[in-house]
Amino acid sequence: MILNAYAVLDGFISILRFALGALVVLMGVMAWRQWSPELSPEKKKSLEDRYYLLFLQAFLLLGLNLFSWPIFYLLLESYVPEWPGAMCVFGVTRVGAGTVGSSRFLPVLVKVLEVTKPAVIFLAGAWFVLYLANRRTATYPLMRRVLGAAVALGLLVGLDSAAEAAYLVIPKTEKFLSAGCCTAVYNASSRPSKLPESLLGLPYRSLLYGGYYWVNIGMAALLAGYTFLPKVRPEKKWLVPLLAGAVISMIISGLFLVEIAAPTILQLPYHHCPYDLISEAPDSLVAAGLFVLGCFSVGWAVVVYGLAKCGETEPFLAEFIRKLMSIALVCYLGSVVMMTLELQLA
Amino acid sequence: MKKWQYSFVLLGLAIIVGLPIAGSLARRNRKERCALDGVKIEAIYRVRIVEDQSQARSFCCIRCAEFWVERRDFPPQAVYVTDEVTRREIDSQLAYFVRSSVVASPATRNRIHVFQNLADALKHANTHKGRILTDSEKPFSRKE
Repeated sequence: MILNAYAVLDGFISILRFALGALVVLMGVMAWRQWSPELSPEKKKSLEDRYYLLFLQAFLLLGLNLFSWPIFYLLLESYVPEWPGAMCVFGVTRVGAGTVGSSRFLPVLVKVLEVTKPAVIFLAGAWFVLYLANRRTATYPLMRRVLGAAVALGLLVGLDSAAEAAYLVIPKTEKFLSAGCCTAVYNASSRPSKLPESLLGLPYRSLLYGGYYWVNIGMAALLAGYTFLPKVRPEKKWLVPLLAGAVISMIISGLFLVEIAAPTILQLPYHHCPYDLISEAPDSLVAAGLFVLGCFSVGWAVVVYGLAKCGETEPFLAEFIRKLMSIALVCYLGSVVMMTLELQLA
Repeated sequence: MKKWQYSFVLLGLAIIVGLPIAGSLARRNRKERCALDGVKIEAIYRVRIVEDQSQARSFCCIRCAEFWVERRDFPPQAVYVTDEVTRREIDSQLAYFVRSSVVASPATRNRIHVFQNLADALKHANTHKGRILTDSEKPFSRKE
Protein backbone atom coordinates (compact mmCIF):
# COMPACT_ATOMS: atom_id res chain seq x y z
CA MET A 1 0.00 0.00 0.00
CA ILE A 2 1.33 3.42 -0.96
CA LEU A 3 0.45 5.82 1.80
CA ASN A 4 0.06 9.49 1.00
CA ALA A 5 -2.51 12.20 1.76
CA TYR A 6 -4.77 11.18 -1.12
CA ALA A 7 -4.60 7.50 -0.15
CA VAL A 8 -5.67 8.35 3.41
CA LEU A 9 -8.51 10.58 2.17
CA ASP A 10 -9.63 8.04 -0.43
CA GLY A 11 -9.49 5.20 2.10
CA PHE A 12 -11.53 7.16 4.63
CA ILE A 13 -14.18 8.07 2.04
CA SER A 14 -14.31 4.46 0.81
CA ILE A 15 -14.93 3.12 4.33
CA LEU A 16 -17.57 5.79 4.93
CA ARG A 17 -19.28 5.02 1.63
CA PHE A 18 -19.23 1.28 2.26
CA ALA A 19 -20.78 1.71 5.73
CA LEU A 20 -23.42 4.13 4.45
CA GLY A 21 -24.15 1.91 1.43
CA ALA A 22 -24.68 -1.11 3.70
CA LEU A 23 -26.99 0.92 5.98
CA VAL A 24 -28.98 2.19 3.00
CA VAL A 25 -29.41 -1.38 1.68
CA LEU A 26 -30.45 -2.68 5.12
CA MET A 27 -32.91 0.12 5.88
CA GLY A 28 -34.16 0.17 2.30
CA VAL A 29 -35.03 -3.53 2.35
CA MET A 30 -36.77 -3.13 5.75
CA ALA A 31 -38.78 -0.17 4.48
CA TRP A 32 -39.60 -2.03 1.26
CA ARG A 33 -41.07 -4.91 3.24
CA GLN A 34 -43.15 -2.64 5.48
CA TRP A 35 -44.44 -0.40 2.73
CA SER A 36 -47.68 -1.26 0.99
CA PRO A 37 -49.88 0.85 -1.30
CA GLU A 38 -52.89 -0.20 0.79
CA LEU A 39 -51.59 1.51 3.95
CA SER A 40 -53.58 4.45 5.27
CA PRO A 41 -52.19 7.95 4.51
CA GLU A 42 -51.38 8.44 8.24
CA LYS A 43 -49.47 5.16 8.40
CA LYS A 44 -47.62 6.02 5.18
CA LYS A 45 -46.67 9.41 6.59
CA SER A 46 -45.37 7.88 9.82
CA LEU A 47 -43.32 5.29 7.87
CA GLU A 48 -41.92 8.01 5.68
CA ASP A 49 -40.92 9.98 8.77
CA ARG A 50 -39.36 6.88 10.29
CA TYR A 51 -37.25 6.33 7.20
CA TYR A 52 -36.26 9.94 6.94
CA LEU A 53 -32.77 8.85 8.03
CA LEU A 54 -32.60 6.45 5.07
CA PHE A 55 -33.18 9.27 2.61
CA LEU A 56 -30.74 11.50 4.44
CA GLN A 57 -28.12 8.74 4.14
CA ALA A 58 -28.87 8.23 0.45
CA PHE A 59 -28.50 11.99 -0.06
CA LEU A 60 -25.17 11.93 1.79
CA LEU A 61 -24.10 9.00 -0.42
CA LEU A 62 -24.84 11.13 -3.50
CA GLY A 63 -22.57 13.90 -2.19
CA LEU A 64 -19.79 11.50 -1.17
CA ASN A 65 -19.86 9.78 -4.55
CA LEU A 66 -19.63 13.11 -6.35
CA PHE A 67 -16.59 13.84 -4.19
CA SER A 68 -14.98 10.41 -4.57
CA TRP A 69 -14.85 10.47 -8.39
CA PRO A 70 -12.24 13.29 -8.70
CA ILE A 71 -10.49 12.08 -5.53
CA PHE A 72 -9.89 8.70 -7.19
CA TYR A 73 -8.16 10.33 -10.17
CA LEU A 74 -6.17 12.63 -7.88
CA LEU A 75 -5.04 9.48 -6.03
CA LEU A 76 -3.90 7.88 -9.30
CA GLU A 77 -2.17 11.13 -10.25
CA SER A 78 -0.36 11.15 -6.89
CA TYR A 79 0.98 7.63 -7.64
CA VAL A 80 2.66 8.69 -10.92
CA PRO A 81 6.07 9.56 -9.36
CA GLU A 82 6.17 6.10 -7.71
CA TRP A 83 6.88 4.37 -11.05
CA PRO A 84 9.60 5.67 -13.37
CA GLY A 85 7.85 3.98 -16.32
CA ALA A 86 4.60 5.90 -15.74
CA MET A 87 4.34 9.33 -17.34
CA CYS A 88 0.75 9.98 -16.35
CA VAL A 89 -2.38 8.41 -14.79
CA PHE A 90 -2.60 5.95 -17.69
CA GLY A 91 0.72 4.38 -16.64
CA VAL A 92 -0.63 3.95 -13.09
CA THR A 93 -3.76 2.24 -14.41
CA ARG A 94 -1.50 -0.39 -16.03
CA VAL A 95 0.59 -1.10 -12.95
CA GLY A 96 0.29 -4.79 -12.12
CA ALA A 97 -0.42 -5.93 -15.69
CA GLY A 98 1.55 -9.07 -16.45
CA THR A 99 2.33 -9.90 -12.82
CA VAL A 100 1.44 -13.14 -11.04
CA GLY A 101 0.78 -11.99 -7.46
CA SER A 102 -2.18 -10.07 -6.07
CA SER A 103 -1.01 -7.03 -8.07
CA ARG A 104 -2.46 -8.66 -11.20
CA PHE A 105 -5.91 -7.54 -10.04
CA LEU A 106 -4.95 -3.83 -9.98
CA PRO A 107 -5.65 -3.03 -13.68
CA VAL A 108 -8.98 -4.89 -13.51
CA LEU A 109 -9.97 -2.99 -10.37
CA VAL A 110 -9.17 0.34 -12.04
CA LYS A 111 -11.28 -0.63 -15.06
CA VAL A 112 -14.17 -1.63 -12.77
CA LEU A 113 -13.89 1.67 -10.89
CA GLU A 114 -13.82 3.68 -14.11
CA VAL A 115 -17.21 2.17 -14.95
CA THR A 116 -18.81 2.14 -11.49
CA LYS A 117 -17.90 5.74 -10.59
CA PRO A 118 -20.07 7.37 -13.29
CA ALA A 119 -22.70 4.63 -12.90
CA VAL A 120 -23.02 5.41 -9.18
CA ILE A 121 -23.45 9.13 -9.91
CA PHE A 122 -26.13 8.37 -12.49
CA LEU A 123 -27.97 5.99 -10.15
CA ALA A 124 -27.73 8.45 -7.24
CA GLY A 125 -29.17 11.17 -9.48
CA ALA A 126 -31.94 8.84 -10.66
CA TRP A 127 -32.82 8.05 -7.03
CA PHE A 128 -32.81 11.76 -6.20
CA VAL A 129 -35.15 12.83 -9.01
CA LEU A 130 -37.57 9.99 -8.15
CA TYR A 131 -37.41 11.04 -4.49
CA LEU A 132 -38.15 14.68 -5.39
CA ALA A 133 -41.12 13.64 -7.56
CA ASN A 134 -42.45 11.38 -4.80
CA ARG A 135 -42.13 14.14 -2.18
CA ARG A 136 -44.55 16.32 -4.15
CA THR A 137 -47.35 13.75 -4.01
CA ALA A 138 -49.91 13.26 -1.25
CA THR A 139 -49.95 9.43 -0.93
CA TYR A 140 -46.36 8.63 -2.03
CA PRO A 141 -47.25 6.31 -4.91
CA LEU A 142 -43.60 6.10 -6.00
CA MET A 143 -42.27 5.02 -2.62
CA ARG A 144 -41.44 1.44 -3.65
CA ARG A 145 -39.53 2.66 -6.69
CA VAL A 146 -37.69 5.24 -4.59
CA LEU A 147 -36.76 2.51 -2.09
CA GLY A 148 -35.73 0.17 -4.92
CA ALA A 149 -33.49 2.87 -6.38
CA ALA A 150 -31.98 3.51 -2.92
CA VAL A 151 -31.24 -0.22 -2.43
CA ALA A 152 -29.69 -0.47 -5.91
CA LEU A 153 -27.61 2.63 -5.13
CA GLY A 154 -26.44 1.12 -1.82
CA LEU A 155 -25.43 -2.13 -3.55
CA LEU A 156 -23.52 -0.36 -6.32
CA VAL A 157 -21.80 1.94 -3.83
CA GLY A 158 -20.85 -1.17 -1.81
CA LEU A 159 -19.24 -2.72 -4.89
CA ASP A 160 -17.53 0.53 -5.87
CA SER A 161 -16.14 1.29 -2.40
CA ALA A 162 -15.01 -2.34 -1.87
CA ALA A 163 -13.17 -2.28 -5.21
CA GLU A 164 -11.58 1.05 -4.29
CA ALA A 165 -10.49 -0.19 -0.85
CA ALA A 166 -9.05 -3.35 -2.47
CA TYR A 167 -7.14 -1.18 -4.94
CA LEU A 168 -5.68 0.83 -2.08
CA VAL A 169 -4.73 -2.18 0.04
CA ILE A 170 -3.25 -4.53 -2.61
CA PRO A 171 0.55 -4.29 -2.47
CA LYS A 172 2.02 -2.59 -5.50
CA THR A 173 5.45 -4.17 -5.24
CA GLU A 174 5.30 -6.20 -8.47
CA LYS A 175 5.22 -3.22 -10.70
CA PHE A 176 5.97 -4.22 -14.27
CA LEU A 177 4.48 -1.90 -16.83
CA SER A 178 4.01 -4.47 -19.55
CA ALA A 179 3.48 -1.97 -22.38
CA GLY A 180 5.13 1.20 -21.11
CA CYS A 181 2.95 4.26 -20.56
CA CYS A 182 0.38 5.98 -22.78
CA THR A 183 2.92 6.58 -25.56
CA ALA A 184 2.88 2.86 -26.32
CA VAL A 185 -0.92 2.66 -26.47
CA TYR A 186 -2.48 6.02 -27.35
CA ASN A 187 0.17 7.07 -29.88
CA ALA A 188 0.11 3.70 -31.63
CA SER A 189 -1.52 3.62 -35.03
CA SER A 190 -3.54 0.60 -33.82
CA ARG A 191 -5.24 2.49 -30.95
CA PRO A 192 -8.97 1.65 -30.69
CA SER A 193 -10.13 5.26 -31.21
CA LYS A 194 -8.42 5.19 -34.64
CA LEU A 195 -10.74 2.43 -35.89
CA PRO A 196 -13.20 4.91 -37.50
CA GLU A 197 -10.28 6.47 -39.40
CA SER A 198 -9.44 3.05 -40.82
CA LEU A 199 -13.05 2.66 -41.91
CA LEU A 200 -13.76 6.20 -43.11
CA GLY A 201 -10.38 7.15 -44.55
CA LEU A 202 -8.59 10.47 -44.40
CA PRO A 203 -11.39 13.03 -43.87
CA TYR A 204 -12.03 11.38 -40.50
CA ARG A 205 -10.51 14.28 -38.55
CA SER A 206 -12.65 16.94 -40.22
CA LEU A 207 -15.67 14.63 -40.00
CA LEU A 208 -15.09 14.18 -36.28
CA TYR A 209 -14.64 17.92 -35.81
CA GLY A 210 -17.90 18.62 -37.63
CA GLY A 211 -19.62 15.68 -35.96
CA TYR A 212 -18.77 16.95 -32.49
CA TYR A 213 -20.27 20.39 -33.16
CA TRP A 214 -23.26 19.13 -35.14
CA VAL A 215 -24.23 16.56 -32.50
CA ASN A 216 -23.71 18.80 -29.48
CA ILE A 217 -25.27 21.94 -30.95
CA GLY A 218 -28.06 19.76 -32.37
CA MET A 219 -28.65 18.37 -28.89
CA ALA A 220 -28.68 21.90 -27.46
CA ALA A 221 -31.21 22.95 -30.12
CA LEU A 222 -33.45 19.96 -29.34
CA LEU A 223 -33.19 20.66 -25.62
CA ALA A 224 -33.96 24.35 -26.19
CA GLY A 225 -37.03 23.31 -28.19
CA TYR A 226 -38.11 21.01 -25.40
CA THR A 227 -37.54 23.67 -22.76
CA PHE A 228 -39.03 26.72 -24.44
CA LEU A 229 -41.75 25.47 -26.79
CA PRO A 230 -44.98 25.40 -24.81
CA LYS A 231 -46.61 22.77 -27.04
CA VAL A 232 -43.97 20.14 -26.23
CA ARG A 233 -45.11 17.59 -23.67
CA PRO A 234 -43.16 14.70 -22.16
CA GLU A 235 -43.87 12.04 -24.74
CA LYS A 236 -41.88 9.20 -26.26
CA LYS A 237 -41.59 11.02 -29.60
CA TRP A 238 -39.53 13.73 -27.87
CA LEU A 239 -37.71 11.76 -25.19
CA VAL A 240 -36.48 8.86 -27.34
CA PRO A 241 -34.63 11.13 -29.85
CA LEU A 242 -33.16 13.11 -26.96
CA LEU A 243 -31.93 9.96 -25.22
CA ALA A 244 -30.54 8.59 -28.50
CA GLY A 245 -28.88 11.97 -29.12
CA ALA A 246 -27.29 11.90 -25.66
CA VAL A 247 -25.87 8.41 -26.30
CA ILE A 248 -24.56 9.38 -29.75
CA SER A 249 -23.05 12.60 -28.38
CA MET A 250 -21.26 10.57 -25.68
CA ILE A 251 -19.65 8.31 -28.31
CA ILE A 252 -18.69 11.15 -30.67
CA SER A 253 -17.45 13.43 -27.87
CA GLY A 254 -15.37 10.55 -26.44
CA LEU A 255 -13.68 10.03 -29.81
CA PHE A 256 -13.29 13.81 -30.22
CA LEU A 257 -11.61 14.04 -26.81
CA VAL A 258 -9.03 11.35 -27.65
CA GLU A 259 -8.41 12.18 -31.30
CA ILE A 260 -8.65 15.99 -31.41
CA ALA A 261 -9.16 17.74 -28.05
CA ALA A 262 -6.36 16.07 -26.04
CA PRO A 263 -3.59 16.54 -28.67
CA THR A 264 -4.68 20.15 -29.36
CA ILE A 265 -5.04 21.26 -25.74
CA LEU A 266 -1.82 19.51 -24.72
CA GLN A 267 -0.10 20.99 -27.82
CA LEU A 268 1.25 17.52 -28.62
CA PRO A 269 -0.07 16.68 -32.12
CA TYR A 270 0.70 12.93 -31.97
CA HIS A 271 -0.16 12.33 -28.32
CA HIS A 272 -3.74 11.14 -27.82
CA CYS A 273 -3.79 10.41 -24.08
CA PRO A 274 -6.87 11.94 -22.36
CA TYR A 275 -5.39 11.08 -18.93
CA ASP A 276 -2.70 13.73 -19.47
CA LEU A 277 -5.42 16.38 -19.27
CA ILE A 278 -5.80 15.60 -15.54
CA SER A 279 -2.35 16.95 -14.74
CA GLU A 280 -1.64 19.24 -17.69
CA ALA A 281 -5.01 20.90 -18.36
CA PRO A 282 -7.34 20.32 -15.39
CA ASP A 283 -9.53 23.24 -16.52
CA SER A 284 -10.61 21.19 -19.56
CA LEU A 285 -12.05 18.58 -17.19
CA VAL A 286 -14.72 21.11 -16.16
CA ALA A 287 -15.93 21.08 -19.78
CA ALA A 288 -15.95 17.27 -19.68
CA GLY A 289 -17.81 17.34 -16.35
CA LEU A 290 -20.45 19.71 -17.74
CA PHE A 291 -20.89 17.42 -20.73
CA VAL A 292 -21.39 14.36 -18.50
CA LEU A 293 -23.89 16.28 -16.36
CA GLY A 294 -25.77 17.29 -19.52
CA CYS A 295 -26.00 13.68 -20.74
CA PHE A 296 -26.97 12.43 -17.27
CA SER A 297 -29.71 15.10 -16.97
CA VAL A 298 -31.31 13.79 -20.17
CA GLY A 299 -31.09 10.26 -18.70
CA TRP A 300 -32.64 11.39 -15.43
CA ALA A 301 -35.49 13.07 -17.33
CA VAL A 302 -36.16 9.76 -19.10
CA VAL A 303 -36.04 7.93 -15.75
CA VAL A 304 -38.61 10.36 -14.34
CA TYR A 305 -40.84 9.87 -17.37
CA GLY A 306 -40.51 6.08 -17.22
CA LEU A 307 -40.76 5.50 -13.48
CA ALA A 308 -42.59 8.50 -12.00
CA LYS A 309 -45.57 8.72 -14.33
CA CYS A 310 -48.83 8.26 -12.43
CA GLY A 311 -52.03 10.15 -11.64
CA GLU A 312 -50.63 12.10 -8.73
CA THR A 313 -47.48 13.22 -10.54
CA GLU A 314 -49.32 14.18 -13.73
CA PRO A 315 -49.87 17.88 -12.79
CA PHE A 316 -46.18 18.66 -12.24
CA LEU A 317 -44.32 15.96 -14.19
CA ALA A 318 -44.07 17.97 -17.43
CA GLU A 319 -42.59 20.96 -15.61
CA PHE A 320 -40.25 18.69 -13.63
CA ILE A 321 -38.88 17.07 -16.81
CA ARG A 322 -38.63 20.48 -18.46
CA LYS A 323 -36.41 21.69 -15.60
CA LEU A 324 -34.12 18.67 -16.01
CA MET A 325 -33.91 19.35 -19.74
CA SER A 326 -33.05 23.01 -19.08
CA ILE A 327 -30.16 21.86 -16.84
CA ALA A 328 -29.01 19.59 -19.69
CA LEU A 329 -29.26 22.52 -22.13
CA VAL A 330 -27.09 24.78 -19.97
CA CYS A 331 -24.54 21.98 -19.49
CA TYR A 332 -24.33 21.12 -23.21
CA LEU A 333 -23.91 24.77 -24.19
CA GLY A 334 -21.42 25.44 -21.40
CA SER A 335 -19.39 22.38 -22.38
CA VAL A 336 -19.26 23.32 -26.08
CA VAL A 337 -18.31 26.95 -25.32
CA MET A 338 -15.57 25.85 -22.89
CA MET A 339 -14.18 23.23 -25.27
CA THR A 340 -14.16 25.73 -28.16
CA LEU A 341 -12.27 28.26 -26.04
CA GLU A 342 -9.81 25.57 -24.91
CA LEU A 343 -9.14 24.55 -28.51
CA GLN A 344 -8.83 28.12 -29.79
CA LEU A 345 -6.52 29.26 -27.01
CA ALA A 346 -4.25 26.19 -27.19
CA MET B 1 -35.12 36.81 -12.52
CA LYS B 2 -34.19 37.54 -8.93
CA LYS B 3 -30.90 39.17 -7.92
CA TRP B 4 -29.35 35.88 -6.71
CA GLN B 5 -30.29 34.21 -9.98
CA TYR B 6 -28.47 36.93 -11.94
CA SER B 7 -25.43 36.44 -9.69
CA PHE B 8 -25.59 32.69 -10.32
CA VAL B 9 -25.73 33.16 -14.10
CA LEU B 10 -22.82 35.64 -14.00
CA LEU B 11 -20.75 33.24 -11.89
CA GLY B 12 -21.45 30.42 -14.34
CA LEU B 13 -20.46 32.58 -17.32
CA ALA B 14 -17.29 33.71 -15.52
CA ILE B 15 -16.32 30.04 -14.96
CA ILE B 16 -17.14 28.96 -18.51
CA VAL B 17 -15.16 31.81 -20.10
CA GLY B 18 -12.56 32.48 -17.40
CA LEU B 19 -11.30 28.95 -16.75
CA PRO B 20 -10.06 28.20 -20.30
CA ILE B 21 -8.37 31.62 -20.45
CA ALA B 22 -6.69 31.12 -17.06
CA GLY B 23 -5.67 27.57 -17.98
CA SER B 24 -4.22 28.67 -21.30
CA LEU B 25 -2.21 31.46 -19.65
CA ALA B 26 -0.90 29.06 -17.01
CA ARG B 27 0.24 26.57 -19.66
CA ARG B 28 2.24 29.19 -21.58
CA ASN B 29 4.87 29.46 -18.85
CA ARG B 30 5.69 25.75 -18.70
CA LYS B 31 9.24 24.47 -18.95
CA GLU B 32 10.49 22.75 -22.11
CA ARG B 33 8.80 19.35 -22.64
CA CYS B 34 9.07 16.52 -25.12
CA ALA B 35 7.21 17.55 -28.30
CA LEU B 36 5.83 14.02 -28.67
CA ASP B 37 4.50 13.01 -25.25
CA GLY B 38 5.00 16.06 -23.03
CA VAL B 39 7.47 14.44 -20.64
CA LYS B 40 10.07 16.56 -18.85
CA ILE B 41 13.33 16.42 -20.84
CA GLU B 42 16.48 15.18 -19.13
CA ALA B 43 19.43 17.09 -20.56
CA ILE B 44 21.53 13.91 -20.97
CA TYR B 45 19.02 12.30 -23.40
CA ARG B 46 17.79 15.41 -25.20
CA VAL B 47 17.22 15.20 -28.96
CA ARG B 48 16.57 18.28 -31.10
CA ILE B 49 15.04 18.15 -34.53
CA VAL B 50 15.26 21.13 -36.91
CA GLU B 51 12.42 21.08 -39.41
CA ASP B 52 11.44 23.32 -42.31
CA GLN B 53 11.90 27.06 -41.79
CA SER B 54 14.41 26.30 -38.99
CA GLN B 55 11.65 25.39 -36.55
CA ALA B 56 13.22 23.28 -33.78
CA ARG B 57 11.51 20.73 -31.52
CA SER B 58 13.00 18.95 -28.52
CA PHE B 59 12.39 15.35 -27.42
CA CYS B 60 13.02 13.33 -24.28
CA CYS B 61 14.67 10.38 -26.04
CA ILE B 62 15.70 8.86 -29.36
CA ARG B 63 12.52 6.79 -29.58
CA CYS B 64 10.19 9.80 -29.32
CA ALA B 65 12.23 11.68 -31.92
CA GLU B 66 12.12 8.70 -34.30
CA PHE B 67 8.36 8.37 -33.81
CA TRP B 68 8.00 12.07 -34.71
CA VAL B 69 10.16 11.84 -37.83
CA GLU B 70 8.24 8.75 -39.04
CA ARG B 71 5.00 10.72 -38.96
CA ARG B 72 6.20 13.81 -40.82
CA ASP B 73 5.74 14.16 -44.56
CA PHE B 74 9.20 15.65 -45.09
CA PRO B 75 12.53 14.63 -43.56
CA PRO B 76 14.03 17.04 -41.03
CA GLN B 77 16.78 19.45 -41.97
CA ALA B 78 18.96 18.25 -39.10
CA VAL B 79 18.81 16.06 -36.00
CA TYR B 80 20.98 16.82 -33.00
CA VAL B 81 21.53 14.31 -30.21
CA THR B 82 23.30 14.65 -26.85
CA ASP B 83 26.55 12.91 -25.98
CA GLU B 84 25.96 11.09 -22.69
CA VAL B 85 29.53 11.70 -21.50
CA THR B 86 30.09 15.40 -22.22
CA ARG B 87 26.36 16.32 -22.45
CA ARG B 88 27.17 18.31 -25.57
CA GLU B 89 24.84 18.49 -28.55
CA ILE B 90 26.20 16.75 -31.66
CA ASP B 91 24.93 16.07 -35.17
CA SER B 92 23.24 12.65 -35.21
CA GLN B 93 25.25 11.64 -38.30
CA LEU B 94 28.49 12.00 -36.33
CA ALA B 95 27.26 10.12 -33.25
CA TYR B 96 27.73 6.49 -32.18
CA PHE B 97 24.53 4.80 -31.04
CA VAL B 98 24.66 1.87 -28.61
CA ARG B 99 21.71 -0.38 -27.79
CA SER B 100 22.33 -1.81 -24.32
CA SER B 101 20.53 -3.29 -21.30
CA VAL B 102 20.31 0.16 -19.66
CA VAL B 103 16.90 1.76 -20.05
CA ALA B 104 17.43 5.44 -20.79
CA SER B 105 13.78 6.45 -20.64
CA PRO B 106 11.51 4.10 -18.63
CA ALA B 107 8.29 5.53 -20.07
CA THR B 108 9.25 4.83 -23.67
CA ARG B 109 11.57 1.88 -22.92
CA ASN B 110 14.33 3.51 -24.93
CA ARG B 111 17.62 1.57 -24.66
CA ILE B 112 19.62 3.48 -27.27
CA HIS B 113 22.48 5.57 -25.93
CA VAL B 114 24.45 8.29 -27.72
CA PHE B 115 28.20 8.92 -27.68
CA GLN B 116 30.47 11.28 -29.54
CA ASN B 117 33.61 9.13 -29.18
CA LEU B 118 33.96 5.53 -30.29
CA ALA B 119 35.91 4.69 -27.12
CA ASP B 120 33.03 5.81 -24.90
CA ALA B 121 30.55 3.88 -27.03
CA LEU B 122 32.62 0.69 -26.84
CA LYS B 123 33.09 1.09 -23.09
CA HIS B 124 29.31 1.41 -22.56
CA ALA B 125 28.60 -1.52 -24.89
CA ASN B 126 31.05 -3.78 -23.06
CA THR B 127 29.91 -2.78 -19.59
CA HIS B 128 26.16 -3.06 -20.24
CA LYS B 129 25.88 -6.00 -22.67
CA GLY B 130 25.25 -3.72 -25.64
CA ARG B 131 26.42 -3.26 -29.19
CA ILE B 132 27.13 -0.34 -31.45
CA LEU B 133 24.45 0.11 -34.12
CA THR B 134 25.56 -0.16 -37.73
CA ASP B 135 24.90 2.63 -40.25
CA SER B 136 21.70 0.99 -41.48
CA GLU B 137 20.45 0.46 -37.91
CA LYS B 138 21.23 3.99 -36.76
CA PRO B 139 18.23 6.11 -35.78
CA PHE B 140 17.21 8.75 -38.35
CA SER B 141 19.42 7.09 -40.98
CA ARG B 142 16.61 6.54 -43.48
CA LYS B 143 14.86 9.88 -43.16
CA GLU B 144 17.79 12.23 -43.35
